Amino acid sequence: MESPIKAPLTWLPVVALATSLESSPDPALQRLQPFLEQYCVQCHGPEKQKNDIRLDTLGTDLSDHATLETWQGILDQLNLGEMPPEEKPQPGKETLENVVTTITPRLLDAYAKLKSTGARAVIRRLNRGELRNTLRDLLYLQGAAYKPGEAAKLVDNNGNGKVERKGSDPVRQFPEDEEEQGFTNIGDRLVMSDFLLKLIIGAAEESLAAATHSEPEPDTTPRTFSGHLVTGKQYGQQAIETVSREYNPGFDLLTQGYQRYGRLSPDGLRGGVKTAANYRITIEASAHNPESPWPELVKLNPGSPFQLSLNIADTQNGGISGPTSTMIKAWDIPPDGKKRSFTFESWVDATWTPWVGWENGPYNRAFRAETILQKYYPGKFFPRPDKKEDKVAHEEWPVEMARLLTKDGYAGSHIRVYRITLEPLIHEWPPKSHTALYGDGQQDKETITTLLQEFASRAYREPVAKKEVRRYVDLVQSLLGDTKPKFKGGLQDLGFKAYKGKWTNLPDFEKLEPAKEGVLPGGLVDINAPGWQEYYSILFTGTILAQVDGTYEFEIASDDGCRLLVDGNAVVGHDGLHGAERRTGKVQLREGRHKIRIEYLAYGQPNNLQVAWKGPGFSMSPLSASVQMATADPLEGKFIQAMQAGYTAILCSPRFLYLRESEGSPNPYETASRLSYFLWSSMPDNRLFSLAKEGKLRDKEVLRQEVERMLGDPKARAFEHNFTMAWLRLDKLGKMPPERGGPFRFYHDRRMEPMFMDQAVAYVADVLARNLPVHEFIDSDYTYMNHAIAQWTYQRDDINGDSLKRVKLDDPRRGGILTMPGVMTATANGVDTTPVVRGVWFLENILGTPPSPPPPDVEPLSPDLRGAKTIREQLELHRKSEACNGCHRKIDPLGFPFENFNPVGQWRDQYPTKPRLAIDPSTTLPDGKAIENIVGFKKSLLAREDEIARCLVKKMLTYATGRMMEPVDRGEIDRITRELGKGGYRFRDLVHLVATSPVFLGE
Amino acid sequence: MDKPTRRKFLKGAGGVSIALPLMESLPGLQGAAAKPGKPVKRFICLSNNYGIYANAFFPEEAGRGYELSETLRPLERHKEDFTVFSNLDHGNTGGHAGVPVLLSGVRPPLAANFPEGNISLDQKIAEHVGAQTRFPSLTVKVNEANLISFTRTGVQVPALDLRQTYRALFLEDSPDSKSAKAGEFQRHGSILDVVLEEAKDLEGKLGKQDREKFGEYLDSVRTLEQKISQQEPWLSKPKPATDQKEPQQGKGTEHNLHAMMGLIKLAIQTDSTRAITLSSGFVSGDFGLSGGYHGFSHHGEREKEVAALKLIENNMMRQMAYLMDLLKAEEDPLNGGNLLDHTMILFGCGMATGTHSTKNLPLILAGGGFRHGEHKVYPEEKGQRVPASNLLLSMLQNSGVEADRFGASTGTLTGLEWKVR
Repeated sequence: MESPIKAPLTWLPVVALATSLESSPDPALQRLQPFLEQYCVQCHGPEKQKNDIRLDTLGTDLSDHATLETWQGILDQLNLGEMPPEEKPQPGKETLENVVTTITPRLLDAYAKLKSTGARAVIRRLNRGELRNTLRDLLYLQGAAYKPGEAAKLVDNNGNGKVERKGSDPVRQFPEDEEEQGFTNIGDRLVMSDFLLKLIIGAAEESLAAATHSEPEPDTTPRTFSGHLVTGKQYGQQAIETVSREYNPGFDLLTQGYQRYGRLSPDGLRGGVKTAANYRITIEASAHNPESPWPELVKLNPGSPFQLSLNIADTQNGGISGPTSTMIKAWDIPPDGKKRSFTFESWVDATWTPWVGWENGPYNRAFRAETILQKYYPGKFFPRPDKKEDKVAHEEWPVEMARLLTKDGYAGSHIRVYRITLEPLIHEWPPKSHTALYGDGQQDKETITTLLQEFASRAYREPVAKKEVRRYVDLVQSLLGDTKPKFKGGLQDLGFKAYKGKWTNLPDFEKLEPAKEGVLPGGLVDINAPGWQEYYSILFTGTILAQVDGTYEFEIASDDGCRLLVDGNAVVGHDGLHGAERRTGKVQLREGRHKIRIEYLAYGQPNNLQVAWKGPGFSMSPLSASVQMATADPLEGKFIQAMQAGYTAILCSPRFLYLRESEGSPNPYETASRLSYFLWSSMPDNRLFSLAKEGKLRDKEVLRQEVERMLGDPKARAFEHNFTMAWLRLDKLGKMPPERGGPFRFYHDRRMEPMFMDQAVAYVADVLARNLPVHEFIDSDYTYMNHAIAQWTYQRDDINGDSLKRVKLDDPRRGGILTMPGVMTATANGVDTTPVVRGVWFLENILGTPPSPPPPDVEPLSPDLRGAKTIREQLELHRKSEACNGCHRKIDPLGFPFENFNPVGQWRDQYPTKPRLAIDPSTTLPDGKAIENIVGFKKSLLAREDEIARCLVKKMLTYATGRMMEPVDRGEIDRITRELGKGGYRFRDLVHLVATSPVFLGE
Repeated sequence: MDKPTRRKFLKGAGGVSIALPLMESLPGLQGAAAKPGKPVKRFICLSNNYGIYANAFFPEEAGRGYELSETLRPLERHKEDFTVFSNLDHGNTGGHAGVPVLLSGVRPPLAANFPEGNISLDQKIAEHVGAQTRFPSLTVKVNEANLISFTRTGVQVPALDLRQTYRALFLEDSPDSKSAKAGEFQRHGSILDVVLEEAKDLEGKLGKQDREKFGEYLDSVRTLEQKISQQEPWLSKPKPATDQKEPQQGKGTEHNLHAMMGLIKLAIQTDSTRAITLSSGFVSGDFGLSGGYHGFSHHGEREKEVAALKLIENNMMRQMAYLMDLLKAEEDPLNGGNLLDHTMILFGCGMATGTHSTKNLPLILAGGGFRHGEHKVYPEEKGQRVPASNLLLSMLQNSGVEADRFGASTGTLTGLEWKVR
């Protein structure tokens, strides 16, 4: 059963070779024939074929699978020094190096050809971020889950590592997208599976439900919370702020930043605002005492005005201090004691609540009433009573101290918050998201077709003809048909008598002469039976079959008056002039036939009558032809369900899920999609669609204007975020994070990871916004930080506030992106660091010259933590081996300068070994240049802006086209790099050059 | 409790009694159980993400009379029922990147070059089992992410924790949610019909290269339709009943892993599934240790870290021994004999600890009708190494799947024989 092991080259993938690849011998490989003759053929030749390998007949056409595999084997054996065997004659070092350097690039080329997609973007599935954004724009959805630039990710709500798939992000359950070199939008790599398709159906249904609003228009009465927003100590208020409420009935006090406390959210909104809507939020506040009277203990941000921030957070998902908390606005508030109003409009989801805080308020642990009293008001201070003598006094002491500090007026710098008002702004009801899906509720085939056609045109991002949606219309109609109730012994012998007149109440029909009479064999009441527009009334009579004894419910919705009688008894009525409101009435019926009579009055237009009933064993079933229903009607519910199924099918259609590029030159709609997925990670907007329709997207000037417009849109956050993540490989953050409870626990405790990402994105966004040169990425004299990053990464205590701000640096080690904590963490493994990983990262992503992958069979290096050798010494050993040195002499020197940054990017001078070993960051670059440390390294890089820019060009083209760059693209990469250089390598220019490049446009 | 009702109660180990729907009520089972000479086989993989401290794992001697290593000692009472291997691996490098390769033999980035991608053994078996069990496979986890189950399109199968596993196995859905589910199946079925037509139209308009990629989409639609039709009948069938309470979660890895072993045994006994993978980990506080598993695994031969690893690994071995106890104690309702006779348990990881080497993987195979009791040592020399995929192929064939290749296999595993054919 078992077969002998045939080839030693089992690691090599079985490559499916396209037969069409050109075949041609390679002269350089042919020139290696003498080498093979001399060292290999004795055992792998005509006489012996050890391991079934024969090299004298080996071809050099690497497009042949077997040939490629054999050459790879030769290279591996040489690299490993396994062949020729020790006892046989050995080639000299130079010969060997020559052979290895000849074979290696040729194999890489051959592999690249195998993987080539012919420099064409292959049909490309929307990745999960793109899918979510597209659903947002297609369905007019709003809310926190759809914030542009927000990564689709699981949320660690309680900070204990248990991620939860909560919230309303439709793609929260999706697995990570397939990635190639950090890019998650490479068509060739992205995979579809039944598992994913099932998730997509779920996401589509969920999003459609979120867009549907059958409920009545929500109450838009403003809500005001004044005086004390918070009562008691529910939010762990600091003593000063809590005690202040005893003395100041009119306001709440903010005395510090909100690193620990200091988040004010109305108690009345603890479950959220209840109605998802756009809100106008107004805060009344004042700021006091610009100078801190206690400067040693309470430090204000030097030179910056007081800032009041407005934030929103999901009460069901970690609450106001949880990870969903997002600042939506910050105002400068002059500390002159004057009461001011601040207003901002923002969407707030139903379970979310606003909260306010002092964004740049002072924060430190010594800031407590007792320490202030002791230092500045020793006369008021008294020491803490002993716990054993007086337990109550002991426990009350901090509060007592706070009272002493606060009761005659709090002298410290502070903000007072007097009231918060929330005013829902609902301009149309139902909202656009609803009407775009269901129109005005007409259910005829024509309307359904139009609705689906319009939807499909936007979903498929190109014009769609009526006939192309035929199968979706059929689906909707079949579902409507399926769910159309059987007439449970419905109306029989239905006839009508119609009368003309201007009644405002139902007339006495018995006294009138009908102007028209007729029968309705369909069994459905129809107010259009007489064919009149307005000012008439109708009397319908017939019988209805109750199949069992029981309670039956009748429902009417009429514009205008209507009355329904069974066996002469009024069951439900709604007389007078009014809109089609729903009315229901119940009646006990015995099994059998019953007389039914429906009276109806049509005043001026519009007019409408809907009648339905339900009973034991059957659900609400229409008795009228018209089913244009008011809100929350079960009849409408069926229509909505059927339409949703149609839309879901469209959203699962490959024309929605995949981006395509036509063979030959792309059509203008494809160009519109390319642009929008490049800069917005979402579908084109109306303007792009109309430019496509007018054929204007070929025009370079129009393109330039559009790129500017699109970059100015908040949706461009997606580009800033996604490109930064891919370029710097920040996708690796969180893959091997430092451990909870380990030496870098602050990483979890303070939730640093998202801040690290945001820091890098903020930096890149700033370089983009200001169109700064590429060398700004290598070094600068500023970075972005907030309180936590300042404290933990840069060891600074002079930065307050949660939000990232640009901060000037005096530290030449830290400017630019290379040494940012996010990058340093992503290139470590949460435990230790190695120059190899950071060196490879640098070659791949900054210089754009990735090293060859390691040969098989090398054991990984790991630092000996008993402190015998540093990683540097181990690597020196490693490089003594010729096979390793080839690559490692290019890799390691680029990694050494980063050794001063620990696995979370903090500066260190020693390794955490026992005994501690000093770090030597000096290095000699492959070109022989000696470098002392990271500062010198960055300086040396400034001279290599061209290389770094070229790498960025390649990366951005990759991101923009959704395919890996190939050798044929080299010319265009060179051209763009040259063009870019003419303007001084400016980053925003790069976006323009990419967007107008023939490679991007598919020309 | 034994009453002649429609349900037959089985006394389980540890006083657990579970009710099993009668075999005849499960259409898939009849065929499987009735065929003589074709026993129903199950597969369980117990794994972790950080490997095993190798110096305490591999026994010194080869062959039958070997002495158990320190780490293997908790398995002593089962010595005749498992095999430990040396020098098997998947021939790749990359430290942590080796972890997801354990059950496929194929690194995810290379998946496109293999006919079945990087499908893992459990998923391959699940495809074979299809609708015969309620769950074609179960992917579960205890204080750790499960990184070892992949479908043939390379999608990682999401894992259930202790509570979710219990609920999936035993908690009956409410009638409302069942009927909602039935409606959903129907709706999704008709949506997929429409979408498939659309896809066929589109396919004709695509170029060759796009068409290749598009094949994935067509497959996905068809597979999902098939899965829906496989799952639909299970909706109306009752889940097995158990008097075991929902296990409490969050009481440390030892407790959780122990409880999970109980659930795994019940899942096998009730034939709820025939392919299970489990990854277990560590939480700070286990065994009085603080720190993290990953930190320990970079032990650099430091005493404290090595000691911590040994404690973690010792627990894994004790729990495996316990699972073997449970399976041995239970009569196999489908095949006769005991459950372990027809249940393979593979313990292993695609990476060792320390230097995160992916050479010489820690691997133990128990049960399943193989001849055990040995430390099998395979050639260490380069050029003669045996791929661990050969072991996977042997196990695949043992599951009744007719295949002559799996992952990077070059054949079945030399010297590994079946007791029962």
